[in-house]
Amino acid sequence: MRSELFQRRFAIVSGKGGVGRSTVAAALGWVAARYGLKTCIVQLNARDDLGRMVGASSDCYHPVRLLPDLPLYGCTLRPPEALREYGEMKLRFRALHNLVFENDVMRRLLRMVPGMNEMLMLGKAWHMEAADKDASGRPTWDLLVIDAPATGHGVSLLRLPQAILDAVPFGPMADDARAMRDLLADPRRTALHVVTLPQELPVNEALELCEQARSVLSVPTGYLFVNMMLPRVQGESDRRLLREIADRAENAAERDLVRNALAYEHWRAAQQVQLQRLKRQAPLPLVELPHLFAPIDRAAIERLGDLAEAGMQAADVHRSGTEAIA
Amino acid sequence: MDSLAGLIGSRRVLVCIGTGGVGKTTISAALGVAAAEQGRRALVLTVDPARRLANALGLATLDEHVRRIEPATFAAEGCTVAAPLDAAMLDVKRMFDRVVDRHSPSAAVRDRILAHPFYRQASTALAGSQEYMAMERLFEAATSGDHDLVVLDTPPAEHALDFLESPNRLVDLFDSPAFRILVARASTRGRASAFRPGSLVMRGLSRFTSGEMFSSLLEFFSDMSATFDGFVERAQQVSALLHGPDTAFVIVAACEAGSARRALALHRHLTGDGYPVGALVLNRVAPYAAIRSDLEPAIEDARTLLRREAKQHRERHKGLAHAWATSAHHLSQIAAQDADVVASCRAGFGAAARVALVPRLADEPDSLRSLADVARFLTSAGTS
Repeated sequence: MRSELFQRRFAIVSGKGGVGRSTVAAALGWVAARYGLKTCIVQLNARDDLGRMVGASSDCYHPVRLLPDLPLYGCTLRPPEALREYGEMKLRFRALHNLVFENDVMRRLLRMVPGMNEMLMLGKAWHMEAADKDASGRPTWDLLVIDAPATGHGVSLLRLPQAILDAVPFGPMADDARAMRDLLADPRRTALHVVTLPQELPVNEALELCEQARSVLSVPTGYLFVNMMLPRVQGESDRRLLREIADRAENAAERDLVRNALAYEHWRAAQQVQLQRLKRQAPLPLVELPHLFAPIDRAAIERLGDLAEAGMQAADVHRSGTEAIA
Repeated sequence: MDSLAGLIGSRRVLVCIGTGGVGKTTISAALGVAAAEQGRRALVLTVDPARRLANALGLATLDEHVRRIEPATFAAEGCTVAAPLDAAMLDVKRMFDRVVDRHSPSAAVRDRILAHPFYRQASTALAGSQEYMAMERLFEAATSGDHDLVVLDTPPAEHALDFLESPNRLVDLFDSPAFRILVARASTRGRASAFRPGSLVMRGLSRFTSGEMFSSLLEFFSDMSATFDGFVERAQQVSALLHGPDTAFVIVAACEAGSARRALALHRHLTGDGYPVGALVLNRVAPYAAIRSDLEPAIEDARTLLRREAKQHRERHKGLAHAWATSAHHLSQIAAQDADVVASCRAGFGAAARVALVPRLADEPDSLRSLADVARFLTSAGTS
C-alpha cells in the first residue's frame, strides 16, 4: 500500500538550509510520478537545484516535464511573473493591467508592500492546487511538492495569509488570503514535511519547526526526514578492537585506514545521539535516509525515493499499530 | 593581498555573507575571537537567535544589548586574548522603532507610524526588514567609535544578495520623483489625478486588493515620507561604508559542490557591484584521508593489520576487515569530493581573495575554547 504521503495533494517540504531539502523534495516527487501520479515540484524563488539533479532545467514559471518516462514536472516561481499573472487574472483587460502595474510608481510601491513577494508565490502555488483543472474538470495535479524556503523564511511564508488578514481584513486580497489560510490548515489537502540532518543545530531547528507548526501555524504535519545517516558497519566489540590496535599501524595506508574507520565510528556515534533526541522529542514519524557518499544525480534521487517510500510505509504501519493499541 | 588575519587586523567592518546552514554564525563568532586575540576591541553582531552561540560565548543570553566577554573569561578556558570581545543580537522590531523615532519630524508622526497596521507587518519578520535593520545596526555600531572592528553575521538568505539590495530598493522608491509627488499630494488630500478615489487606476487596484488597503498604504507612506530623507541619506551612508576601504566581505560556504557554486556566483556579483571581497571561508571540509583507491586494497590492508595484531577470533577477521575498509572508504570518497570542491574554489577565486579552510568538527563549537580552535584554522598560515 502506498504511504500516506500521497493522500494530501499539497506537500510542503521545509527545513534548515543545507539539510538536503530539495533532494528530498525531488525524491518524493519521483516516487509519486512512479506511481503514475501527475506531480509538480514547485520551487519558490530558488535556484534550480532540481534541474541540476535530474538533468533537465526547471527554471521556468510554467511547469515543464522533467522526465520523458514519468509524469514528473517542475517549475520555479518568481515574484515578477506571479504578479503579472495575478494582475491579469484579476483585472482581465491587459490595458487596465498595464495602466496599473506597468506604472513606474506602482511597481516600486508594490515591491515595498511587506510580504508581497511571498504572497504572490504562495498564491500561485495555492492556485495550482485549487484552480488548475484539465479539460474534463479534474484537478491538473495529483500532487504538488512545495520546496519551501529555509526554516525561518518558511515559517514567515506559512504565517503570511494570517498576517495579511490581520492587516487587511476585507477586499479581494483578503478573500484570497483566507482561501490560502484554509488550504494550509486543511488536514485533507495539506501536510508539512520536515527535513533535517542528525546534527545538533539542524535537529534543534527541526524540533522548533514541528512545535511552531502545531502552536503558531496550525499546519497539519506529515513526516520528519532524517537525511544523510551513516549506515552501521560494525558492532561495539569491533569498535573496541579498532581503538586498541589504532596506534600500531605500520605504514601510511594502514594509518589512513584506521584513522578513517575511527572517524567514521565517531561521526556515526554523534549522529546516533541526535537521532535518539529526535526519537524522544519529535512529534512526527521519522524516516531515515542514508548518506550516499556521492553527488546527487538522477540515480541517487531514485534510490532515495525508494528508501523514503519504504520508510514512510514502515512509519505508517508502526503508527497504525500504536493507534490500535491505544 | 591581505591574509584573513590581516583583514581582522586592519578592517573596521567584516561582513559574513552566505546562504543558510553553512555555519556563518559560528564563523562570525570565531572571527571575533581572532580579533580579541590580536588585541582589537571587536563586536560580533548576530541575527541568529540560537542559544547555542550565547552558550559558546559563555553568556546566559544574547539580545540587543551589547554583552562583554572579559579576557578573564577566556583565560578560565585556557585562551589568551589581548582585548575583551563584545556580542549582541539584532532585534529587528526594536531597531525599526529606533530608526523611525530617529527620522520622524515629530512625536505625533512617529506615533502614527508606529501604530499603523502596515508598520506592524513591516517591522516584524517579513521579507526585507531584517536585512535592512541589520544594515542600520551595523552602521550604528561601526560609527559609534566603541569598537575597532564590527563583525556582522548577515541573515540567512536563499539569495544572499537580498541583504544588500533591500536598502537600495527603499532608496529607489523614496528617491523617485513620481513617488515624491504622489505622497506629497496624498498627504495634502489632493491626490495625483491617477490615484484619486474613483479613478481608473484606483478602480483597477480595488479589484486587485481593496481600495481601503491602497488608501491605507498611501496614508502610511505619506506619514513615512517625513522620514524619507533620513532613510535615503542613511542608506547612502551604509552603501558608502560597505564599498569603502574599511570593509571586507567574508563569503562563507559549506564544503559541498552546490554551496561552493553559490559562493562563486556571490563572489562575482559582489565584485561586480564594487563590494570588496576579502576571503572565502570553506567550512566543514572533510578532515579525512583521501585513500583514493578501490575498496579491495583497503580490505587487504585491514586484513594484514588484523592478522598481525589480533591473533584471537580469526573467524571474525574477514567481516571485520570488510567493515573497516568500507567505512574508511566512504570517508575517503567524501574527502576526495571535498578536495575537488577546494580546488575549484581556489581556481574560481583566483588571486583576488584568500580561501580559508575549516575542517568538519565532530561537535558544533560550544565553548570559547572551541571557537578559538576555529579561529586558528581561519588565520593559520596553511590557508592560501
